[in-house]
Amino acid sequence: MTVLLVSVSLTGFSQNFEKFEDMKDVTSMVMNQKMFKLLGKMDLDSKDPEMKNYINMVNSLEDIQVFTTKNPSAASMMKSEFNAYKTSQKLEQLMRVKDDGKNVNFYYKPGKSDDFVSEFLMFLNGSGSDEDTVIIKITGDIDLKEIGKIASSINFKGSEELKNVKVN
Amino acid sequence: MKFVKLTVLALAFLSLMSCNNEQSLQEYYVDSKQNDNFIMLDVPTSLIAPASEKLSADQQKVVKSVKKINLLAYSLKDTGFYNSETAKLKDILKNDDYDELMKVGNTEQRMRIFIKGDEDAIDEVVVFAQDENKGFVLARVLGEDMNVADMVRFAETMDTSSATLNTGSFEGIMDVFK
Repeated sequence: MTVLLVSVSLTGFSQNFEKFEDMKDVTSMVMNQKMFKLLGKMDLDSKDPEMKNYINMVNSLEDIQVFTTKNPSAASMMKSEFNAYKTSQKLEQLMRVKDDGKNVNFYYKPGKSDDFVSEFLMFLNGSGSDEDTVIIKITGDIDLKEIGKIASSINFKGSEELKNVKVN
Repeated sequence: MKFVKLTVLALAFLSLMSCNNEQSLQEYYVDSKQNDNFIMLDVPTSLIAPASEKLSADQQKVVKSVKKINLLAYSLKDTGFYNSETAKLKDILKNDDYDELMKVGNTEQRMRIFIKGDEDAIDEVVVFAQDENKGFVLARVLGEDMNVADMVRFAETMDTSSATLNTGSFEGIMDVFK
C-alpha cells in the first residue's frame, strides 16, 4: 500500500499538498466547501451589510489549506512540492514581499476577471532559519480585495502575511 | 509511456479498492463493542438535555433533532494498535458518505470534523480527534435534520456555567486527553 501511495505521488497524481496533512512536524488546517456553506448559513438573517459581504465572500470559497512547519526536512519538502505545483499549474506571480527578513511570495490562477482569481497561493520560505515555512492555498471565486479579510478571519500562524496583499 | 504507467496504476488502485471490504462507521462501532481496549459511551440526548419545561419551543426543537451521542475512545497503550485503528477509521470516514468540513493538526494532535446530510439538515456529525501520545476519540452526534445555525443559537442562550446541561457522563471519556 505504501509503495502504491509513493508511486502515485511520484507520477504527479496528487497535485496538491494533501500529504502534509498527516505529516509529523507540520501544523495544518484545511477547511472545505461544506464548511463555508455552513458558516454562510449561520447568520443568514443578518441585516448588517458588512456581515452580508462577509457571507458572500465565504460562500464563494471552495477550500482553504494552511500548512506550517519549522522542521527543516519538512520545510524543504514543502518548498519542492510548492515549486512543482507552481510549474505544473502554471501559476502566475502576483507579488513578492520582503518583510522583516522573510520572503513571501504570492501566486494566483486567473479567474473570471482581473480582480477575481480561481486560486490563490502564498509561500513563505523560512528554511535556513528558525522561521516557519508556510503554504497557504485558497481556491474558489476569490476577490483579491477580500484576501485581507480572509486573513483576519482564519487567524492562523502565517496568515497575517496575507494582509500585505495589495491590489491596485 | 506515461499513459501506460497511469493506467496500470489506476487498475492496481481499483482492484485494491474492490477487494477491500468496505466497512461503515456503524459496523466499526459494532465490531469494537467487543473490544476491551475501547471506552464506549452511548448517550440518548434525553439523559443530558435539560428538563423540557425549562426550554422554549425553539430550544425543544433543537433538542429533539439530536437523538443520541456516541463516543468511542482509546487511551494509548499500544502504538501499533493505535496506528492501525486510526488508519482504519480514516479510510472509513473517507469512503462512507461523509463530507469533511475541516481538519486541523499540529505536530502531535489532529482533529477532523465530518457531517452526513445537507448543510441545513444534518443527520450525523462526526468528530475524530487523535493525539499520538494519548490516544483517540471518535464522537458521533446522531440526529435528524439537525440545523447548525439553530444549535449555535441554542448554545448561546444556554448559560454554560449553570448545571442545566448534565455533562457528568462525559468526564470519563475526557480523561483520555488529560
